[in-house]
Amino acid sequence: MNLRSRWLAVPGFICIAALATMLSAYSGASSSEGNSPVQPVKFRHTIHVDTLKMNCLYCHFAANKSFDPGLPAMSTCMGCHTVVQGTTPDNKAEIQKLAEFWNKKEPVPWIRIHKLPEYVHFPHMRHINAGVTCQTCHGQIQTMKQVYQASSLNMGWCVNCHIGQSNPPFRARYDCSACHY
Amino acid sequence: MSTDQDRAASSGPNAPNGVKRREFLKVLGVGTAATTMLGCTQEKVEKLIPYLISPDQTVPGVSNYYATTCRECSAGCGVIAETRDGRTIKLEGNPEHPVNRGALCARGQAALQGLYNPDRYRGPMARKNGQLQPVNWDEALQIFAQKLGETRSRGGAGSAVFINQHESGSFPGFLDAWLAAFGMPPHLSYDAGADHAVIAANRQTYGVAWPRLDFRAARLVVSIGADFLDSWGAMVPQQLDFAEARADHENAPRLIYVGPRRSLTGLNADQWIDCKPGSEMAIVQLLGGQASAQAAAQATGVSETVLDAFAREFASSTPSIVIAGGGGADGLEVALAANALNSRGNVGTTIKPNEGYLGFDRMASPAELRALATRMITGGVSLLMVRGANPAFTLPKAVGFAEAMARVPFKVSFSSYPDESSELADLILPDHHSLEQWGDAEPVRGTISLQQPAMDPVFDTRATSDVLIAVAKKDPANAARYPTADYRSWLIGRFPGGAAALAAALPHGFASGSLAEPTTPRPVPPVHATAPIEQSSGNMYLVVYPHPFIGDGRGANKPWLQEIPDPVTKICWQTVAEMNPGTAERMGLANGDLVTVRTAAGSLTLPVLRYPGIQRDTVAIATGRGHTHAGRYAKAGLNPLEILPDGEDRAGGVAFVSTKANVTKAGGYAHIVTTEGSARQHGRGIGQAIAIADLRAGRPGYDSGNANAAEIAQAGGTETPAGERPEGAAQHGEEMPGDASHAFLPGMRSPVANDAQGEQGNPLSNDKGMYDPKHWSGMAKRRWAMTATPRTTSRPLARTGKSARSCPIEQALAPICCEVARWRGFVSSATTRAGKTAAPISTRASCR
Repeated sequence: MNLRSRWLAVPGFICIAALATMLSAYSGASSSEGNSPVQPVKFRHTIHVDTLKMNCLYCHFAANKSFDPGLPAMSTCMGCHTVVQGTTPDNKAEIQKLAEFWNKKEPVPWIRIHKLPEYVHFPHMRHINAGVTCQTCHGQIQTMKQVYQASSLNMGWCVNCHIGQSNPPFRARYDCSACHY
Repeated sequence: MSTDQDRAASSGPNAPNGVKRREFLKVLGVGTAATTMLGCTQEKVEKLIPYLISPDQTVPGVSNYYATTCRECSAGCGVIAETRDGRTIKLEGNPEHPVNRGALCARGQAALQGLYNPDRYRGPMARKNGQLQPVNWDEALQIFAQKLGETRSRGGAGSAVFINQHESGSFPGFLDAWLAAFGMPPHLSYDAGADHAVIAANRQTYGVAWPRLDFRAARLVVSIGADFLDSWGAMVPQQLDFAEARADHENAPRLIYVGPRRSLTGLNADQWIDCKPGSEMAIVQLLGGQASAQAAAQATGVSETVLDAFAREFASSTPSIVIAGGGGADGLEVALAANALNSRGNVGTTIKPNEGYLGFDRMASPAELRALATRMITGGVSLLMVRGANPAFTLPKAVGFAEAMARVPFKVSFSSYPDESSELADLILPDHHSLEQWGDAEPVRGTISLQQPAMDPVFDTRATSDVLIAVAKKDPANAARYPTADYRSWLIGRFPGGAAALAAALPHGFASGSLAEPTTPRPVPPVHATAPIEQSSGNMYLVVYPHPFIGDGRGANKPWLQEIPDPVTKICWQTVAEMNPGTAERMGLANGDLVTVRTAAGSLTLPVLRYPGIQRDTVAIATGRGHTHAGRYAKAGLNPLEILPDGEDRAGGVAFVSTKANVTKAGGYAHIVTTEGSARQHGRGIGQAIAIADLRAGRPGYDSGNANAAEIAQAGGTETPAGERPEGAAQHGEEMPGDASHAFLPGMRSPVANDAQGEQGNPLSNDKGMYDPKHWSGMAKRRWAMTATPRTTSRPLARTGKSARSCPIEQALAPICCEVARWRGFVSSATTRAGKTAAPISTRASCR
């Protein structure tokens, strides 16, 4: 390494790294929009919500009273599925998987899809109680055979709604401390 | 900066392990770049783990609150436990509770760190081949039941001993009934932190163990070593009562503190009389008129003028309160004499025996435990059971409790945590934490304070009460006496009004009623009385005092209590020898210099802390630290009980101030672990002071940090010196000298658009701040870290019109952004994975 390249290498690297960071952030490429992992048990929102017309709050019981929407306890699942065994072979197999977890006294390790960074607060109850539907953020979840992240969950996407650009329009605070506190 | 040798070692050819600077930088650069690139990819796979069965009434992220009773000391304060997601996360005082009225001390707050303590016993353990090994509860209970049977069949039941932590409520009675059923004598209720001399004196004078002190009614409070604000007796209600009394500027009582060391109570006093340790009796005699000021000055080393003024003030101030404590060798005599001074109209006015605290009744004294140690050495104890107490640590080492305990054939510990006593046990049946179990207390007559679980047990522990019931059920002779399934059912059966009344009372945390516990004192066994302190040899008096937070040592494994600075010395995590700066100067000792403190019982080497609030011939050391077997945090510091000679006051309590010590410079230095850079204000006026007379007259007073304060006070003290008044401060009489202006500074407001306030904003304002389309930043069209505008939006905001201010750099970069996104495989893969129903990614804002 001659003198010149030595003096260029380190600042050059820093420049490239900084550029990469900014491009990545600006392009929104860090969003996991569309992420749709295969879950350990193929839970079907289509059957539960679209066909059986179950209310979202039956399982996500805390969505209107807590920051956290609430993940149903295994006992909630088994409340019905000790009786309901499914009709098609596929469904029977999945319910069987659920029962196996329950018999082992293990929770199903669901894979998380929607995740905001730690420095953002998203109080579910305020959105639900303001009349924002689940679908506004989570997409047409009742028709998803396998749940995917329908929205980018990036800040620009949040702010669009907070400044009243959604349909129907909502008005909410959008100063920094509304979410970053 | 490296030395020549270093350089030779690192750059020479024979340095195989040396990392060259250049290589290091290369690795660093590549690593940073890799992290930068990888860090922007998708989040790591995270799991959502549901409950199997959700705890009662649990809403994630929303707290439940349970009213229960604090068991960290025997006072019995009411607490509200905040439980979120099935875990208790915060304790606060119960505002309705008659004892603590919403307040909670540091020890109570730190109860949580006992609950989640990493060193807690995970489950029962039994000694096998000399080692404590985990066993399951069935096996542990089997061993316990078998040992109880063996003890009884060999006729040893009468010599079995149960030591319980001191507490009020129904458990002590329940325990005695259980012991009687197995033919065993009543238990020893032990609290190492209690002032036994004062309790005995109070019983004799007032007929109760701990009367309520009504500071509001008093004109003068004289505390002779009684640290009623630190940890002496019913601390929380005493603090509240004192604060309330002193907040009343018109009628605030004066407080005079007599003692060799200014504790937190001493620092709250208007006057400190720094008598020699062991000379308190002379002061009490002076106040009682039995001795002259000259004689008292002779004995105490305090100037005669001061004592004379003190005696005259005391004689003219009625009603008053005189309290004495402090653990001297003549503690009982001093406390009795001090109580006698209250006979001039204080009892019933300022000292209220009828409103006394019941948490100090039926307590076994350290003398009883010393007698027990003697019995254990000679093989007179067949079975030893210990719950919650740690006599192997809290008694002076000279008593030899640990050695004696090792001689007992079988030892059972019910401790939740490892400590010096449980380490010697053969069987450990860990108790629930107090926040995990049922119970009750009767802190004041007529109030039952209720204890209920605030959460499910953290570990595989069991309430001792339930263990006792389970073992009795296994015993054919006793099964019939214990028909209830557990202690909770037993409590319900005993509670006035039964289950319905209990259910109604639980949300409040207490109920009226009485468990009608006997409050008779225990007879004191022959005590091993200490000789007067002047008869011991040494160049300084040794004052051992209970640490205000860690106490007798039970809080030592809670990092909060180690970390919270001592209110007086500001020391954390450390044991120091406190010495008067003048004495330290004479001996050539700076802060942190090591000294050896040697008594007849042993020696300790520890750093010196210069503390002006200490009598000049005294060295003071706090108890509670320096454990050997109480967990990872409790090892910090040293234990002064190791050098305290075996000796008691005449009530059987440990005589903490009973000996002189030889203090010598040891050589060497240890950093002082303190949160305080300097104890002085250096004229900066950080802690402001004003005389009450000035405050009431509306005068500004004088700055306590001002070097000329005394002169200003002499000259009338009515004017703040010129130049002291801050710029822009309020009118004369409203500001504190040296205080910064509290006026609203318009420039400090956060620049937030009215529009951003949502519903809270002004609906008439049209201020959109930086999201206004005309804002110079162009932020309405260009949001950082943004992607798509919602598909539901008819007019995507980010694309509204072509503004002349559209940023050229942005336009130039946009195609590159899209290329980068595609290159990284993000856009295409996201579309594929999401399937046909996925959102159209092409609306990504920057891809035009």
